[in-house]
Amino acid sequence: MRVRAVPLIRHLLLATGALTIVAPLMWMVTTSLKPANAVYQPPYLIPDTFRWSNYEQAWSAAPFAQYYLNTIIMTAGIVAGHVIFDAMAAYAFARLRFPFRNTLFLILLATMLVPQFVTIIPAFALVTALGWLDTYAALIVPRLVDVFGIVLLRQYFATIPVQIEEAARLDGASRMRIFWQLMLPLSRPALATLAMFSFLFAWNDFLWPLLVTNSDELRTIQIGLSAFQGRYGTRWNYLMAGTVTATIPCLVMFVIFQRSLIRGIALTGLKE
Amino acid sequence: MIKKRALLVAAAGAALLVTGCAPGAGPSTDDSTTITVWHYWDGANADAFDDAVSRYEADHPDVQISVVNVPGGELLTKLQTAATNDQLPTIAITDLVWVPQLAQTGKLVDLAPALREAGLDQDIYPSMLSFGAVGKQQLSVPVSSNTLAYMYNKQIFRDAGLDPEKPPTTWEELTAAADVIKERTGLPGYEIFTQPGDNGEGVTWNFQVNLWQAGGEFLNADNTKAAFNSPAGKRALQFWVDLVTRHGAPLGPWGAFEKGQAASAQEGSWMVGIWATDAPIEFGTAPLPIPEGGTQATNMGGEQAMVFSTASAAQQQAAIDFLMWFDSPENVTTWSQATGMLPVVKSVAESNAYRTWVSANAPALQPFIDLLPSAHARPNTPVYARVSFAFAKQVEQALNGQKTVDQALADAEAEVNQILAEA
Amino acid sequence: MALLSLHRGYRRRGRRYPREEILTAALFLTPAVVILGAFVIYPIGSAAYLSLTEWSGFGTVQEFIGLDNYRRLLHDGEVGNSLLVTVLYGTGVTIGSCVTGLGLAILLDAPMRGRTIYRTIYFFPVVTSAVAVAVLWRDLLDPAGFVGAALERVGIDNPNWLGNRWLALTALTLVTVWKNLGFNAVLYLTALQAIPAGLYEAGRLDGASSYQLLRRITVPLLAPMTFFVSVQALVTSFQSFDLVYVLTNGGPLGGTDVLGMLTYRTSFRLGEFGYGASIAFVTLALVLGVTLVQWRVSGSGRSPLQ
Repeated sequence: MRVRAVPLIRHLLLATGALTIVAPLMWMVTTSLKPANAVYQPPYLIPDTFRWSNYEQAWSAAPFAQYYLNTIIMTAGIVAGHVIFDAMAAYAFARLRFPFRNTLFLILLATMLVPQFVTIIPAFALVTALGWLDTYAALIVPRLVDVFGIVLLRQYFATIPVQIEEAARLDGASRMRIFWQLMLPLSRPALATLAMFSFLFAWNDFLWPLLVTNSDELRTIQIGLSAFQGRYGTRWNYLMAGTVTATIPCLVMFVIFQRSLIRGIALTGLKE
Repeated sequence: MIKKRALLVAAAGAALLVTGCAPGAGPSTDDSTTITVWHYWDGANADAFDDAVSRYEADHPDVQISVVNVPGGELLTKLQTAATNDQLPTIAITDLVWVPQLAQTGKLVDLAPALREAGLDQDIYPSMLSFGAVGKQQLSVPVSSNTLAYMYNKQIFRDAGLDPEKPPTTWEELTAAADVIKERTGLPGYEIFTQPGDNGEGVTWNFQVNLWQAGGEFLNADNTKAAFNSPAGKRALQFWVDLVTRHGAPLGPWGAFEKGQAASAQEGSWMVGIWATDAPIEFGTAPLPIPEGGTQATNMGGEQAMVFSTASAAQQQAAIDFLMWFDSPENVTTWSQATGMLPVVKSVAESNAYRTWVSANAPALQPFIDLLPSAHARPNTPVYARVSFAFAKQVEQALNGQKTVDQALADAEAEVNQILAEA
Repeated sequence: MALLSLHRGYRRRGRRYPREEILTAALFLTPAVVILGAFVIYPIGSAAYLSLTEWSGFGTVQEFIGLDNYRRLLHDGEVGNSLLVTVLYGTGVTIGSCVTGLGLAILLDAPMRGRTIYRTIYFFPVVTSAVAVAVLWRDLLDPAGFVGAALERVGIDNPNWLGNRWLALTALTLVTVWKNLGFNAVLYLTALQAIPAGLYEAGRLDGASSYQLLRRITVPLLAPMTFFVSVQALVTSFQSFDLVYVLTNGGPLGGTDVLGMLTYRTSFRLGEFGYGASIAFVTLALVLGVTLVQWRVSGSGRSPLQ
């Protein structure tokens, strides 16, 4: 829709709105650079003290390097799992015919509506029984597949014309081959979208990693950050410093995958 | 083709499982000299604990102690999932209020014999021991303690024309000072907890102080009925309601005083440790103001340690030995001085050496220590969280003017009695 | 193998599925079925059983009490309050998401400089964790926080955001909308770009004003996307926990005590796991119901264009 408003008004509105986004983020950064006793005093948005030592303190308060490594490994595993296994299941739902297909899909859909902490205790019991506590397996395997991805990709696969596949099948290609060499490459935007959301989910997940890990060797960033919100008070400046450090990779990821991500959202959101 | 891909997927899965099963750094139950400790301390306190552990290990080379810090909010959840899945550590150090719940697992080791042998059963404050006492058994020992006292912002007092060295000593003086402060500086003179949060504790445990000061009790002696719906209870709740409606106490999330936006509050001794460096305000500490005709009282918090019977016999013994050492006067002194927590044993808290140390290094701590003899323990019932939350919600309604004091207390009594009856 | 599939072919009578396809489907579905079955479906079943019991979480006894938990929640004022709060929150977030999302999309839907920069900026909260966002806003909205200071500089009294139940709910709603604004705008943006420009030209030739164009062309044609955005917003708000927990912890006076918050507190803080599970399932049923209604109302998501 081409609004006939003067471009100046448009910019004004956009800039004002952008301010409401940027201001809180500026506050976060500024707080992260203050000493503890100045957290609730002006200036709020533009730092006038630059206590970079807060970042150093926050970093060394716990083995954050190890936490980062663990979070990266866990996230990579989960993203890979989502992209591959969700796509496989989505392909089955989109293209293959088998008994109870719709029922199964609806059941999976319904499970999306159940919050994590409802399922967390029995899942923990299972992981314990498998002997996976304090291992990468516990962090990754239970989350190798998610329903959101299956739904997203199924939508997307449905928009790819069947003719392409039929032509390949007439040429003698197996389903597997079609999947790997045709469907996946054609679905890059959707896969990028899924990868981004899976990344965000895994990177920011707190409760499950907390329950299934005990040792510093396996812990993740979010666990480390929550230690700044102690029993007897929150250390705001360190918490903000740690949060800034933990959020930067997300922002970087987003900036890199922006194009694919936005295309992906578009293309999967449109079709219902 | 399918088979090849399937094989690949299976191989990937197997590889994952293999890496997964690689032994992590969990507790090894067949190594009899390694014990694990879970706690929620952070920052300086966590460091002090690590230091204590190193000192102990240095003197006891046959014992290895693996320490796990679990962020405050979730330690209880982690212990709960661990308990139902046989993954408990050797020792857990938790808020004392959680001890009755953990006792429900039936997996706590009786520490009474060890305490008797170490002579600690006479030295530890009885009110602290009462929390872990079930029948003749002692299922937990205190390892740290804190109390509530009156903390105030000296600068705001000055700005209001009040003497910063003469804080109020009675409820009446407190409300009068609050009025003056509000008038002359626009800031509230006193802050109270007005929101129950998710387990009521902020409100309940602060309120109990005033309840006890007025001569009331929270629950009856065997924790079967509410006892706060009494004249003392009404007096205390009316005091709180008046603070909000007539003396400017803010209705909102806790923290105004700590941010320099209120002149005073009932604060815990841990604040002295936290504000030892980089304090945001110039503060003073004093005994709590008491009502006319009332008695001094304060609430007692802190952490208690438990040993789990799921550990091997050797681990249990090592754990007990460690805890007895931890509560020995020598370590209690070091520990208290490092953390600003109050000593759990009388021989330290009442000693001249400790007193001297306090007046030289942390004089702000003295009022908290002086209040130890008048510290009350909260009821040690496993449903305390529900009781506290139900109570706090009624208090919140009274503070917001949605119920009268009588109504709020009556409703709270009914709810609490029902909870206790089900327990 | 290829010859075989051709031979069995694409002939389907009634419900006969080619065996080849079923096997292939099984292969493709196995990882998902195994992982989800073990770690999602089994726990849900387990939680369903739990909702029929009473368990403190620590006690060794899980007492079976049948439907007592469900009977109890029918009379529980806290559940009623939570329902109300959740519905209000869900409605607010849905309306807010659609309106602000569309508004921002319209503003962004023009070739101009800095468009990508704006889009990136507006997306930042989307990629920030809910906990970080909540921590941020809890501090900003504190009486001593930045929002208060800013408002005072403009001469407005800082409302007691986190101390009044309705203001707290409003703040929670606004923060949620704020966090998802970029995401919703992108969704709408792409839908906007699918509307043929010719329609607008025709409208303008007929003398329609910008507002009329918006109302008669844009909004109706965006119906499927509006449905999608609404469903997203609604499901998110019904499940919302992290944000609420950190921002307001359900208070004050239960003003932000959404169902997710109530469930968590009942189980993990107050030690009533059976009751908590029953609340979770009631929530699930509600969300399913609401989604179905939305589906029907929006004409099953079909676009008026088709």
